[in-house]
This record gives sequence, structure tokens and C-alpha cells, in this order.
Amino acid sequence: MADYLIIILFILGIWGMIKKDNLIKKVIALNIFNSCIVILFIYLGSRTGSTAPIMEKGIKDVVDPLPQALMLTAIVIGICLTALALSLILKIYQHYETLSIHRIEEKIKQKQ
Amino acid sequence: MNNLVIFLILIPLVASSFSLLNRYFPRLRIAEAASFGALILCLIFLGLLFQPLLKQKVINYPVGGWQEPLGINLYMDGLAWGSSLMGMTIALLALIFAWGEKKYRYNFYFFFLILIAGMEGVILTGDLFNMFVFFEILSIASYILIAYSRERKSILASFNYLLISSLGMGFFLLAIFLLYQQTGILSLREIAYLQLQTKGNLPVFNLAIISLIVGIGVKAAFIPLHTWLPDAHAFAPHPVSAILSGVMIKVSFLSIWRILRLFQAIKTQQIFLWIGAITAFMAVIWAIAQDDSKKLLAYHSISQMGFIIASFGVATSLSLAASFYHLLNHSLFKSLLFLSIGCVICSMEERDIQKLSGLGRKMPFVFLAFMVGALSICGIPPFNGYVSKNLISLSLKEHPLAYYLIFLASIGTVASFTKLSQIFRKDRAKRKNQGKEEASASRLHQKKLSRGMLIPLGILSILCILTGILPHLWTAAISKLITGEELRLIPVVYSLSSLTNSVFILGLGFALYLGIRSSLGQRILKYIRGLKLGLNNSLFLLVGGFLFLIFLGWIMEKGL
Repeated sequence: MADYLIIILFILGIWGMIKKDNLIKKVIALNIFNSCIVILFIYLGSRTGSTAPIMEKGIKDVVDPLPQALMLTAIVIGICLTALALSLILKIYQHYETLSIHRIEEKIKQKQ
Repeated sequence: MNNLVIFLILIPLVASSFSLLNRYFPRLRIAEAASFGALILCLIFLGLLFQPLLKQKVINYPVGGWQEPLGINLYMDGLAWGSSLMGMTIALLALIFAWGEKKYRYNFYFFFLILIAGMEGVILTGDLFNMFVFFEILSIASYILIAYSRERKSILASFNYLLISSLGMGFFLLAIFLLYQQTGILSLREIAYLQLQTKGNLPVFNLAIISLIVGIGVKAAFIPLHTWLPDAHAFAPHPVSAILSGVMIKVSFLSIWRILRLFQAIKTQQIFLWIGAITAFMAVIWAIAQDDSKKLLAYHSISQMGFIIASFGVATSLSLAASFYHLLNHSLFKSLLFLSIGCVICSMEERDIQKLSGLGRKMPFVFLAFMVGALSICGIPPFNGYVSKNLISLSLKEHPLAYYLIFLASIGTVASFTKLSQIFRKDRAKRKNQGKEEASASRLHQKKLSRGMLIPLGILSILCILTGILPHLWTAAISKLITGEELRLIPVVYSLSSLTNSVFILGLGFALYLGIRSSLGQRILKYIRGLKLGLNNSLFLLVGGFLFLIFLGWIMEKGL
């Protein structure tokens, strides 16, 4: 099941980034793409064992903790990127008065 | 002594937090002092590391004392040492320029230092995920620096770069996933060692390498991943464009270099010969068409990266030395060109080539520095570009098609720099068209350049000449630094045939320049200038390039 979900999210993210006209939707698509890879890592980690990796006596068959740690970092970086992208979009809106990438590129062409 | 390696990353990071103090003590100029101090300290540490490096070949520093498969290791080899020296020198000179320009606040220095820390991290780290984190630090700092002037074009360029590069970094994470799934470790050396031992599951391994190349390649800017670069480099502040063009794209390319050499992916390396040759040729066509002076230089960065990448793809010891030599030279003369054009734009407040003329008499020093840079990039003796371009064409001798593409790119370089140098010449035809009004207006506009802006130009010009004379010594030293072995046969660069070759290139370049000044040439250039990819198409090109590389890898694996 999770395999299909990951593939669908992957294609959805790339499609959204390429095809959507609105800049904010593009950023949301980027987030979908990133979370697809996060899920991929977590899914990989979950397949190695079944219990939480708290190493006490008698606990065996633990989940690989490394993918989760890596993904925490990746999520934090993703949040930074989203915040920066949204603040840039705000500035773009103030300058060009539209969020459509087509209209922005047309405006630039007209100026030249 | 080995502990010095971590300080190369730590010093800029600590200094960057110091520079924030400037907010509370605005008169003290802490930010400038902290950044200069940090860079000079880093350069001293690099000097101290040189002797141990010669003895040990590789300096290895386990972070926190955790050894290889579990912990993160920092590796300092000859390649890393050379590229850090290059990065630190260019960063210091760009910083002097920024200080001379006197319009940046403390937050500029803060992000500048973070950029340098990220760059050092990418160079030194031996761990894949750590490399991802440092790449993101590097690129977040660069997005902010590109948008620093808050003009409409620079903000849009920064946003485009952010979106394209983040998609690329997604592919990088995918590659980390594939490698971790196969091997269960993240250390680059251990993965390469395991893979070469077991030869397990080659298709997945190749897919991982291609994803890594696409992820990093967005920053190294070869075709078809180059679309963000011209806008971003052209509309950034001048010192930032110098460091982006001079250092950042090279650092990214060097990490591709390191990965491919470690994994011994010879077949993938051969693809780079063609990518490089096509990049060099295509980018130069767009460079000639540009009217914006900084955009012309930005397209030339892509084109020169093509030279470097093509030479890397040949994968002989001579071609690797030539590639690294050209990489160092390009970082010197491209930052020199960006800074000198920056001086012109600062004082005239105009960046269109067609509207500027006769500046050679008004600012002779800038003119001289620009000429050193332009002659270097065109490959005229005795400047450094001549030597490394000749070495590259020597190493490409066995691949005639790539050789001719590179040859055509050299001709285009001469033509476009003849075009750019017309801002310094007196142009009679232009005078007549413009009339006297604008000439007097431009005189009013002219601001005086401070000494801080001119010092880096002088230093860079001297370095350009120094690396051009005595090519034997430099080639031998570079080859020893990057491969660890002596070159058996160092080719003679200043020979009669290569000199006639460069005279030939020069003549054809001038002919091409005269061709583009005709009315037909102007019309063709206008058409080419109009062919610009939008954001959607560039993102599509990234995904398309990824799929195409996978297809190419599949074909090569089948041996068709």
C-alpha cells in the first residue's frame, strides 16, 4: 500500500511544480515532493523491526533509528525553505501584483 | 594538527554569529572585522595544514571521536585543500570589494560567512547526509544574498533558483535513500568500498549515482540544468556574483568529481565529455546575444564550466590536471571580470552594453583589470587562460567532435568579449546616435570609486598573470595535488603550433564579431535573446534531464 502512496505523491509533487501556474501552489507541490521522500525513508526504517529503538534489557527487533533522525533534519530544512520561498513570494507579489508565473514572465517580456 | 580541519568550518560559523552583534553596536563595525578576521584565520590554518598534508596524503578528522561507518568524518585531501584555498582567497577579495562599496549592512556579512561555512563543509565532508545539509546551508545563504538588493528581478531570480534547486535536492535525498537501502551506511568511502567489493545490484547503484549528479548538477549548472544561473548571477550584488560564479559552481562540481572518482564510475564520467562540450558550445551562443553586461558574463560562466567538465570527462591524468587548472584559473579571471564590470555599473549606474562607451579614459585602472580578465578568458598568451585552454585542447585530441565544439566555443568567447570591451572604447557611430545630451548626463552620473573596490582588482590581475607564466611548475604541482602522482610527460604549452592556433582563434573571433554587428547578425541575436526558458520549462527540463540520463545509463549498461 505504502509503495503506491509514495509513487503517487512523487508524481503529484513533480506534476504540481511543473504544471501549476500559481507560485504558492508550486511551493505546496514542493512540500508534497519532500514529504514523499520523508515517507520513503520512514517506510524503509519501519521494515527492519517492530519495536521502538529504546535499548533496554530484553528489547530486540528494534526499528532502525537512523532514517528517522535523518528525516527530522530534512523536515527542518524543508520548513526553512518553505518560509523563505513564501517570503520571496510576498515580495514578488508586491512588485508584480500577480502570483501567476505566466503573467509575471509576460510582464518582464513587455518591459524589454 | 589534524584538529585544525574542523576549524575551517567552525570559524566562519562562529564569526557569523559575532557579526550579528553589530546590530547593538552599530558604530563598531564588528561585522566587517569578524568576517575579515575569520577569513584570514582560515587562510593561516590552511597554510599550517599544508605540510602535514604532503606527509599524510589525506588528513582524516572524525567528528566527536566517532570512527568511520558510524560517525561523520572530515577528509582533507589535495583536491579539498586546493579548492578551499581558491574559495577562501576569492571570498576574501570579494569581501574587500563589498567593504569598499559601503552599502551593505551587517546581515550581508552574516549570510556571506554562512555561505563560506557551507562551502567549506561541502568540500570537507565525507558523509552523504552531512553533504546534503551543507549543500542546503550553502544554497539558503545564496538565495538570500541573491535577493539582497530587493529589486524585482533579483527577487524573481532568487525564487526561480530556490524552486529548481530544491527539486534537485529532492533527487539528492532520493539517492541517499537508495544508497542507504543498499548498504546501510552513509559514509561515502565505505559505500564505495562495499560496492566495489560486492558489486551488488548495479542498476539501483547507477540510479543513485545519476540522482546524485542531477541533484548537485543543478548547482554546477551544466546544460540542461543551467536555466537559473544567468538571472541569479546577473542580478545579485557584485561581490556575491563574483563568489557565486568564481567559487560556488566549482565547489558543487568538485563534489561530483569526488563522488565519481570514489565510486570509479568510469562510464558515467565519459558522459560528462559530451555534456561539457555541448554546454561550452550552446552557452557561448547565448552569451554573444546578451546586451546586459553581467548576463553576458554569467552565460560565460556556464560555457567555461563546459570546458572544465569536458576535460574532466576524458579521465586521463593530464586531462584531470588540465580541468583543475582551468577551474582555478576561471575562478580568478571570472571574479576579476565580475568585479571590474561591477565597478563600471557602480559608477555609471547603467548595465546595458549598447548605452555605455568610452569608459577607458575615465577609469583606466578598471579598464586595465578588465583587459587582463578578458585576455585570460579568450586564451591569449601569457595569461593563465591560454595555458589551461591549451592543456584542455591537448587532452581532447582523441575526441575530434568534442574538440571542434570546444574550438567553436573559444571563437565565440573572443567575439563576445570583443563585444563587451566596446564599453571601454570610443564608438563614433554610437556617439552620433545618442547625441550630446546623454554624454553629458553620463558624466554627471559618474561616481568616484573607493580604493577598497580597486585593491581586489589589482590583486586578481597579478594572480592571473602569475598563474600564466611558468605553466610547467603549476601543472606538475596541480597534478601532484589532485592525483598524488607525478605527471610523466608535461606537454609544452608555448609551442609554435599552439601559438598559431590561438592566433587563428583570435582572427576568427574578430570575424565573428564583425559578422554580428551587421544588420542580419543583429536580427539573429535578437531572435536568440528572445528564446528564454520560463520557470515551468526549466523544471520540466530538470526532470527530463534526469530521465534522459537514466536512459543513457541503461543503454551504456546494455552495451549498445
